[in-house]
Amino acid sequence: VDKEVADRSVLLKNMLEDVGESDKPIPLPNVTGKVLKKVITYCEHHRNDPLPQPDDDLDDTKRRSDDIDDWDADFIKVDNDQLFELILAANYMDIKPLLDLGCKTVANMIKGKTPEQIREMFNIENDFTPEEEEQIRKENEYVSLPLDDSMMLGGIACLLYYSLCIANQSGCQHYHRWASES
Amino acid sequence: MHLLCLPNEVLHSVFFFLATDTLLNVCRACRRTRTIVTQLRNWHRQYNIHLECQYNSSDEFRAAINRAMEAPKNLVFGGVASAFAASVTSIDLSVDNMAEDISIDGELIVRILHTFAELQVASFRGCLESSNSFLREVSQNNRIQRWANRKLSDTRQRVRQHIKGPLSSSHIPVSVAWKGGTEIAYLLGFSLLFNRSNIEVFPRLCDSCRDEPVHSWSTCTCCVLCDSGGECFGCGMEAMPEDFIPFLQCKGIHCSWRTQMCEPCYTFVGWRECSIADCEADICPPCAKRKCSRCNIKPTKMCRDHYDPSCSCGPECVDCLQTATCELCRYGQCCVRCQGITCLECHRFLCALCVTDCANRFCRDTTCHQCHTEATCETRVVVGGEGDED
Repeated sequence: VDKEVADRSVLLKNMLEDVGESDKPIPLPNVTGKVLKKVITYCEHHRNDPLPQPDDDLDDTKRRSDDIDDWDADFIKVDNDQLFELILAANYMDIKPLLDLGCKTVANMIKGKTPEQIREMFNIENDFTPEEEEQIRKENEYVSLPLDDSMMLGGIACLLYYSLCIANQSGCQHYHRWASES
Repeated sequence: MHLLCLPNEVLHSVFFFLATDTLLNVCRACRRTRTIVTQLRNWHRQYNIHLECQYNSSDEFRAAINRAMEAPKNLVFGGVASAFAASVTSIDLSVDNMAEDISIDGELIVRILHTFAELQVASFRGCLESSNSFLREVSQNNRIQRWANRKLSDTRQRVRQHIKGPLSSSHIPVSVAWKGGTEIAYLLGFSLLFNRSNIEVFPRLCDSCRDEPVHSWSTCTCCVLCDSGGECFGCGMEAMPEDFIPFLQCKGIHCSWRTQMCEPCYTFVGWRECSIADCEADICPPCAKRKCSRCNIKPTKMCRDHYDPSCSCGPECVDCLQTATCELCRYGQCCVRCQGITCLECHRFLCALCVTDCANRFCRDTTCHQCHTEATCETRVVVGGEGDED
């Protein structure tokens, strides 16, 4: 692998600087050969990209996850296992753009999903107790705006009116008998 | 291998890309995700509310906003609402990427502004129901003035803004002034507020003199004192000296907005000509979108020259518009529905100025100057009286 490609990884870059000019192999115990091949493919394609700046994280505009370019989107089309392995490898080898790509992909998978769908998609076990579930449900339920007095009175009037209508339509015997006698 | 095999710092990075409404769902998946979400940096330092662009209707969108507004205070701050409200400095509810037109009402936006007192940047691009409804809401009880003059904490207090004059749908303040140096950037963020809805009531510096504030639907424009005459505000292309781009002054009803754009740009953003034949008056996008008051379907696209401001019917589209010239004075162009009066004697169409009401209070007849006589009035009173006796 070219040094330029290897330098995309901060871990490798630092190690290469430490060992200097040497033909000794550099151990990467946490990365499998298959995943390493994918990582090298990514680094070779992005060999000329500018290196990420340390302050990039603080920029709130970088929160977007829909700005993945076509090559990257095609590259990251892998199954969940391989995706998580790639993320772990990028994290270990300190390749920020690849880590971001993986995180954005996972984030895009989560977007718009209900808690149940998230659990199902990622094999997450629901470890909340029923009491905790109830508390979370209360926290997240929609808090409606307070009604003013006139709206409350209007609502009560409507309820009374509809109750009478239903009683009349369902042929309430007592009501009809009372009405005809009187 | 599954999601929770990833270390916490990586999960932090994943959740960093999620908006508020999705984070709330992630919280409910399991204990670990809940812990990580509550520890997220962006939930504590400079809190922001964002929403995903995946809603299919205004109701869903509105419900998501409400959830995002209410839920985090329980989740993060253990119910301390004031601490939560004081920590929110940015809200982004832009719907640029949504396929459908999803709008929220002005009341909800006013509530957001009211809830988050430390808000510095708010973006509601493309999701305002209508500029009129928003202005109606914010103009109640001087809400926007109070909000604009609220006391900000610490250094931001130096930035003060004063809106002169009342704010309403018919009166957009003409002058806004403020003091301060670099903090102006905070206020400029508000220009995003109305970009897509084509209204701006918050301060924005003139692009030319960088001194006077402007109020225009246009994203880039000049104050009334400046006459830039340079590049097109839409595409930024500088015109040749011989192709001077003149200012476009909207001739819509109660509208005085203006901008400077080349022809493709101003057509693209929605400027239209008055729909009355042979009238070439320009109308800005908000005026061109105004719905007919009668059919409520077609846009009016009517300039103020073809609209009678005293008419109570409101602006109408060309198909519904029915006006006629007063047959007596030959001057007034009146709306047939609300102002057209026919003389009982000569049956001519009259404008309001040419109608003579009878001095007799029992007589409800309307006649023109020429036909009205005491004799005709007496006759009608007698006939009416006989009818009553029968």
